[in-house]
Formats: sequence, structure tokens, C-alpha cells
Amino acid sequence: MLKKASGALALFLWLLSIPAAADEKTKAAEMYQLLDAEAALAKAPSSYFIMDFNEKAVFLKARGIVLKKWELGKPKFWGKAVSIKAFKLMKKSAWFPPKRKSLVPGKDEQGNVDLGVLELKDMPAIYSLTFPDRIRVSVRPKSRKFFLFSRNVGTAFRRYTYLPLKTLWLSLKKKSFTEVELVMANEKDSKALFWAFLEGQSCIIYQPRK
Amino acid sequence: MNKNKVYRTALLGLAIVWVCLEIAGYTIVLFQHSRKIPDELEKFIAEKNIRDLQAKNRQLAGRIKTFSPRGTLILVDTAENRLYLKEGTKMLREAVVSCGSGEVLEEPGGTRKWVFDTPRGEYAVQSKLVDPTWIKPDWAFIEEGEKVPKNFNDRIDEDSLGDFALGFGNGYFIHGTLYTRLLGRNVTHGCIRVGDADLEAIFQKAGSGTRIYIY
Repeated sequence: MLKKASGALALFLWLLSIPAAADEKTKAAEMYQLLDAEAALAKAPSSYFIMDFNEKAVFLKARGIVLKKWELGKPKFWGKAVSIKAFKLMKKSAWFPPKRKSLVPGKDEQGNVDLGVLELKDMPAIYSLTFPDRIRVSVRPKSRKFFLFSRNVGTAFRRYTYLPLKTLWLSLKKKSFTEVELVMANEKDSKALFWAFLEGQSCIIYQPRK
Repeated sequence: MNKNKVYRTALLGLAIVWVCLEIAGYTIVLFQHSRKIPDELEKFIAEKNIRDLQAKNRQLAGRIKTFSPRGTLILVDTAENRLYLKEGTKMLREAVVSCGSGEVLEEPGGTRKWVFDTPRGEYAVQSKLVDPTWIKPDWAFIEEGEKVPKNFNDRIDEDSLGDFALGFGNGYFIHGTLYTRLLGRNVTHGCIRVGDADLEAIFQKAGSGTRIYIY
């Protein structure tokens, strides 16, 4: 009797351990893909980004060292899961992109208080980043103030109306897409990410399985 | 009255269609979310065993470390106008600097154009100069609305670069400045201007070949 009970208990424990082992394996496989992709990027002198949704942070790295880190709020994902590999940023889009100013020869700007220079404050806080494989990352700062209500309305429209319809439309055409919504800790971080991220720069999007 | 009923029916019809489309969209999203693992990862997992993967992960993490530079490092954040002098991961000094203005200068009546950005990427200290002399390039005269001189001596400026300069290629330097009140702002022609005390500390610590990361 005791032998049968201990046998049943052993079987039960073994069955319990199967999903845990599978999870461990998936985690290790994801980590392998992340490290493999990063090793390929770290070999070259160019800097690269890692959007790490496990750490809830965006890292700007070069040669494996972290140059800058931005904390993230809770991200939102739509559509197909992103493959863990390096993607090159194709396009940065904003409603009001920063514009370079032209210098007028003969006019000394060093003494002017109102300089015509391009600085962090001139960068947009709301924008989107387009990658291959129909991956689009929209970036916005955390909304705190009442005047940002309109921004929230826009986000809500996008999230609850535009994206479900887009999903339906593309699935009818047998195409998939990925939409990630990045919420930066504040407006300055959002602008700084726009400044730092250059078109053509590589990025790994690491979205671990929950 | 009849017309109102038609409008109401049309509106209701549209609302029903819209709700159906939304539900269909959400259903597809829910289905996609239930399949969190991309197909190629699923295939990859099936082919490997966990011990191999863990061993390879350790190997890869070690490999990435071998690419990382050792010793003194200079990091320049062009957005924040900050320079960080580091020894490995240890911060030695943080300096307020001035980086490129991003402005554009076009040669009047000519074809040349300059964009005053601080170049981004990985560089190394190539030269270390004490009491550096600036050989003014053409744009420096064009910007001032002056004629580009034919005599080389007219290009020599002994005051603008401060006490020290560290060259990192293509005519770009980390150097001193006369415009200390503009430190912290993007005002330069691409070089990195530093205050006197910070510049001396950087000059003493950084040797030829010290890696510079500009972002």
C-alpha cells in the first residue's frame, strides 16, 4: 500500500516538473538567441540598442558595455511575437520632426542668447520607430498632467479602434505585424531616445515569454 | 419622422458592423497572444537540450566580455552635453561639455555644405597636444562672412582651443574653450569643448589609444 502511494507521489511530482523544465528550456533558448544576436553586434564598433522587456529598460550599448539606460513603464504588445534577432531601424517618424537650421554667414551666433542650435529640447516626445518585418514601436512619455488628456484619447483610439481593425485587415490579407507601445519614464527620456536612435542602427527586441 | 428612423437604423447598422469588426480584431489578437513563442524559436527549442543551451549561454556571455574595452574610457553623451571619464565600470569624472550644434552652413555661391554635428560612434585618442594651435578650416572664414585666406599663416589661431587637445580623427578634438558660459549647450562645430579643470584631468588620464564612445 505504502509502496503504491509512494509510486503515485513520484509520478505526480514527475508530471509536475515537466512544464517547469519546459519553461527553463524556453528561457535558456531565448537567452541563447539574445546573447548570440548581441555577440554578433558587439563584435563591430557600431553602437546598438536592446529593448529588454524582461528588465523593463532600453539599453544603448557598444562592445557589450552599457552607454546609456532608459527605464520603461509597462509596455503593450500587439500582433505576432518578435523574433530575437537584430533589426535595423528603418525610419523614425514624428508629427513634428526636428529641423536643422541654416547659419547665415557673417552673423556671429556665439554671443547670442537665442541660439539657432538643435538640442534635446527640440526633439519630439511622441514618435514611432519602424523596423523590418512590419514591426512598429511607438514611443511616448508617461502622461501625468491633465493637458495630456488629448494624448491619452489619441492613444486609446489607436489601441482600441485602429489596432483591432488593422489586425483584422492584415490577417484577411494573410499578413502579420507587431506593434509595441513603449512608455518612457518622462518626456526628457522620450526625447533622449529619439536623439540617440539613428536610422540604420541595430536593435534587438527582447520580449520574453510570460 | 420617417427620415429620422432611416438615420437611426443606418447608425445602428454601422455601430453593429463596427462592433463586429472590433470583436473579430480582438479575437485574432487573443489568438496571436496565446502563441507567444515565434515559430523559429519553437523549432530551435525542439532541437536543443537544456544543458547545451546553458553551457553555450555562458560561453556567449564570456565572448561578449572579450569585446569590451579595458582601462580608461571616455563616454560622450551629445544629448546631455556630458563627458564621462571611466576606468572600466568605475566613474572617475563627469564633465559638462559642449557638443555639435547640428546647424548647417552653405558656401554662398558655392557648392560646399557643412553640417556641424559631433560624429557618433567608437573612436580612439589619436593625438595629445599641449597649447594646441587651431588651423582654421575654410568653413571658419565662410561662417564669419570673410574671404578664405590663401596664406597659411592667416589660418593659425593660438587662443581658441585652450591648454590641451585630444584628437580623435578627421579634425575633431576634445579641447578647451573661451566660451565657458555655453558649456552644457550644443554650440560647437563638431568638436567637444570642455572646461579647463576637467580638460586637464581628462588629458592626464587618457593616453593615446584610449577609446572614446560618442552617442
